[in-house]
Amino acid sequence: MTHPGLAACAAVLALGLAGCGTDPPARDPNLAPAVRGAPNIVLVVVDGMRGDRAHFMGNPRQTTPNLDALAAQGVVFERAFSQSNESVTSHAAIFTGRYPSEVALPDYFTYVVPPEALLIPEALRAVGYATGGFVAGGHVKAEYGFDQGFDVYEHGQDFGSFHSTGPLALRWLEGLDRQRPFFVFLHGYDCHRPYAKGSLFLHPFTPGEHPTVPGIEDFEAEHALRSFSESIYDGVYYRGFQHLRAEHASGEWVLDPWSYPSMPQLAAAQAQAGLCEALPLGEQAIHHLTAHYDASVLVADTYLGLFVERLQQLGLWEDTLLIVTADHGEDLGDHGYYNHRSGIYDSTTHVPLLLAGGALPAAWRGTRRTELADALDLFPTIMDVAGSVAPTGARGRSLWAELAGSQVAPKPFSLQQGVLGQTSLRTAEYRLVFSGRLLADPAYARFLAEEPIDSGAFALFHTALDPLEQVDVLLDQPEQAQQLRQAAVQLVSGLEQGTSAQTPSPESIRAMRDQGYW
Amino acid sequence: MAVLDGDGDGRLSRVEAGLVAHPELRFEDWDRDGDDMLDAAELRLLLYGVSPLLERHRGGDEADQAGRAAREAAEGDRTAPASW
Repeated sequence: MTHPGLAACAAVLALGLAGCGTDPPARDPNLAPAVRGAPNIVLVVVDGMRGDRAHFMGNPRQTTPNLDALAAQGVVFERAFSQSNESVTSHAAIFTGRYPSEVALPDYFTYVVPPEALLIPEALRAVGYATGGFVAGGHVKAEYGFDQGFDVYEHGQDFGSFHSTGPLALRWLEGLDRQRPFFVFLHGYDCHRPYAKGSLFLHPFTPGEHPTVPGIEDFEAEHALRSFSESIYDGVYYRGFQHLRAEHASGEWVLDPWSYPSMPQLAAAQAQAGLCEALPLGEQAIHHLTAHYDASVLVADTYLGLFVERLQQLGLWEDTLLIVTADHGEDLGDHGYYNHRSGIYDSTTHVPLLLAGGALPAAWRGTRRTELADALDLFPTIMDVAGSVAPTGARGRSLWAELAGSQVAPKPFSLQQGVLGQTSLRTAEYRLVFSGRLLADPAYARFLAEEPIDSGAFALFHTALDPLEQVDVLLDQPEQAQQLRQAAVQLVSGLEQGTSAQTPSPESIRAMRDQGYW
Repeated sequence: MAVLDGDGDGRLSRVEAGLVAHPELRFEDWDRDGDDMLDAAELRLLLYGVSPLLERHRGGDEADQAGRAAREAAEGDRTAPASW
């Protein structure tokens, strides 16, 4: 299939409009001039890495020594957001530059990036890039449509670490002829639940600490269970808690999206009925859990450090732009949960966004930016770096152009779509959240527009003053809420509705349910 | 190393490693020169060779085998581990 957007990329290349430096002599002379001079691009997505847990984003713990060093010589976007709070929908936005609900039917169970979507690697391959994707399986597998446009798309260990995907990428890079620039997508689940890690990473921030919790014989072993973190509500671990399921249109029984807002009450009710055990964790165990999450950030950082070191050894670093970001964060008890899909807050959608590498112009190095940025900006940015343009239909704007001083309209807000139906509008100061309807509902925009602002479906946080978004100020500032709601309605009403869907195979359903999905 | 090295001597003693590492990690497997310390090169081999994830909880036997294979490959050559 030929995408209309690709014609635009090719047209710009034919004119040789964009310049990203001088032509590397080894490049294929048949490439368009702009691409001959374009750098390699490595996009790293650290699955589940919450922005404020990186040391260079304010975590007092030394979680990111390698990324800190890159940040010191790179560009950090301090207010960067993912478009969703779950991997599949968030990656869809990253790779298409479109809102998750535009790419496919926004249904958690059937979500798939369709063939007609145009992804970053497709656009880059069309202009001459070699493209390789190296992912830790899970919800970013080829079967969800993410392999489109990649020359190679390899799965490492399912739900695995950069420890398994880094070497796959390096092996591919070592075999390239370097006649063309390359694009690498590197992905790892290091920061994902369970946060318990092996090897050297179990207790870097709580050395020798072994929390004791009445009723739990071995906290670490229990913690390593897949269901552990999603069975903690308001500081109580509900051992044996069963998530509610509802019948999906496909006939499958899937996690009931309506049950999520009241999960703490459901868990308590199950415990009261003797269906599960309620085990209060206590302050030390809670502290320990967060320390484990931070350890997982250190794990990711360690392997990314080794990866960058190898790029340097291979002589690739000086001609490469590295982009490090995440697809979502993790609520670490900030709102009573230890997961990311229950709500849209900064905890679950504020992500790191770091540009580094030898291809970064010297004048930009060591800078920190405070304007809003989000996942939709990655497609235009990457195509700009590649000396091309983003295709028609990709939203967002080029951060590269912004860094270069071009007059780019600032982003007044970032619209985010939760996998369980939440919509949120994040401005520099506030966050408005709307929940209680499924995004796939054809009348969603009408509900968003007409639902009384004080019905309980909306919440407003003054994030600039309340960074952890603990206090709903909607009743104190209803006009602010109304204003943001209007902006959300205007945007959502103009979105195309994605319709693509797939029924996962029985094997996929089994594998994903083993990991706590669906 | 800087994060894990409690006394700042640039190496991890058995005690330091024991405080931060998973209990199933066998220090002596990675202390290749037997000096009861993990130096930077030994630490690097460890990181190359052992997946940080608790494999039995994430991928089971297949992942364990992959981890073992990586470790064996890493042990074969200290300077250029096959996997990295």
